Amino acid sequence: MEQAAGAPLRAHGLRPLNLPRPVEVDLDEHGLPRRVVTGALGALRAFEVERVQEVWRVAEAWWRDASVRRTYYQVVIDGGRTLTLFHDDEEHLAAGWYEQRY
Amino acid sequence: MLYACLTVPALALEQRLAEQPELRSRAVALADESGLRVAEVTAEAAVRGVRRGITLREAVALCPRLAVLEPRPASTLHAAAQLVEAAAGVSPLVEEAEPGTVFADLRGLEGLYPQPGQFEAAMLAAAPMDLPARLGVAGQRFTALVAAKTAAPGTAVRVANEERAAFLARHAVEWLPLVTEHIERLRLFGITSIGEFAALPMQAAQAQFGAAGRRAWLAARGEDPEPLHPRRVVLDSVHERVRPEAPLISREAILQGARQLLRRALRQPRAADRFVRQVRLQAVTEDEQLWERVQPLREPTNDRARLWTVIRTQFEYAELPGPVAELDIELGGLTTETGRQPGLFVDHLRRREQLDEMVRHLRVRFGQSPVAQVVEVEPWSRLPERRYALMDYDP
Repeated sequence: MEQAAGAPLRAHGLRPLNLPRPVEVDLDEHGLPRRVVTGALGALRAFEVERVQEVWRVAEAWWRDASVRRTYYQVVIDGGRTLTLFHDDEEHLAAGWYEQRY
Repeated sequence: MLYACLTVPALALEQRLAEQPELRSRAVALADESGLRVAEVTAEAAVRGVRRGITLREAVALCPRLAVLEPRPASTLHAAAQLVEAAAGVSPLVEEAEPGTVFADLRGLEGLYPQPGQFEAAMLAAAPMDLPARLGVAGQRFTALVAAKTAAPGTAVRVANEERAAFLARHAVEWLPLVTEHIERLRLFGITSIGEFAALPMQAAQAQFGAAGRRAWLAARGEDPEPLHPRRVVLDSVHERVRPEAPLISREAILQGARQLLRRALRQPRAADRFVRQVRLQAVTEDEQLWERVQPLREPTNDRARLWTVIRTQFEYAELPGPVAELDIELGGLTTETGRQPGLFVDHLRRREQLDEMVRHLRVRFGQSPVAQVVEVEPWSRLPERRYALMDYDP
């Protein structure tokens, strides 16, 4: 089929769903999330973490170079909602924070 | 014309006191929904200077032994609904003026309640037992409201037509249907009773407070022209509710609960072969916060997939105020009619062909397929982004 003029180029095939979204996280003295800033630039929203509900670790293909090591935190933010955050353990604790529906 | 007014003053506080009756004799304040100010107080707290609108910090300073209760809006609405049901059980024409105050039109009920006091007894008996409901009966709405406010809990006051002006005259101007600033202005003029206000020329009341002043002046004289606005006829509905053992925290769990409720609701005999016009969703959080959405449908349907799409969308975008302790679904406006005329020979195959044709058309127009389908990739993966993916729909 002929490509329509001006159509944007796009990689076909599978597009992952539920990709993690980067967030900014301030930590407390124990290294746990204290404050989360989510959203895009211009529509940022900050939430105070009321408590950390659950912490778990995920290590996938740890025997390979391209391994994935994450620490997930299910946190309760103000208003009672929960967010699932993770920290990419390959990165420094101050960076590499993401939000993801688990 | 004869109106009844069934009321529970300070319903939100009374409802909390009904749960903790040992607090009734104590100084108690109910916090507002922000948790910063006083919304209602008991008589004992009022004696100590605690009043509505002040901050909780001020209230505790005034009365160090003050018990402060948090509001529970969901329970309050439930109690208000019980009050409406009590009135509706006696009269078909009922209006809820505000949560905790219900008016009923008593026209034509003389045959059912021929003896004096019979009607009052029936309505009070129908009111929730644990709430101090009061009843007023009069020829006008406002007079009935004042009568109800003056009645002792669990009793009724009936005001005869010829006594209405004298009855109203002795009560405070605060009960007039005017905003607080207008009441304060009346007090500055030295007008403290409804009778003093009624003695003013109507033009004076109207000049000061406009149309509201005229209405209040007529009400003060027992000539309240405000008719009853009966609630809409309750549409036939089916209703399902679940209280999970542990509050639902994740959206997925809430969706699962909602899906189960929808299935149960559609299985009810009353919903069989009928079409739904409206979906009402309610979630009550652990701390009794209420989230509610009402979604009328463009056309009645009994298709579970379509109803689920409506419900799922509402929950997916919902900003729920906390973990869900109770989930409630009502399929309303059940009808046997639908405006849709399905074709005789349209089946799933034909629909699929139409979809494919449409996608081909869009591909030609935009150069790519704008429609995608969700496919399972590694549903067992511990990394959520690896479980599912979008794939271009290619007919």
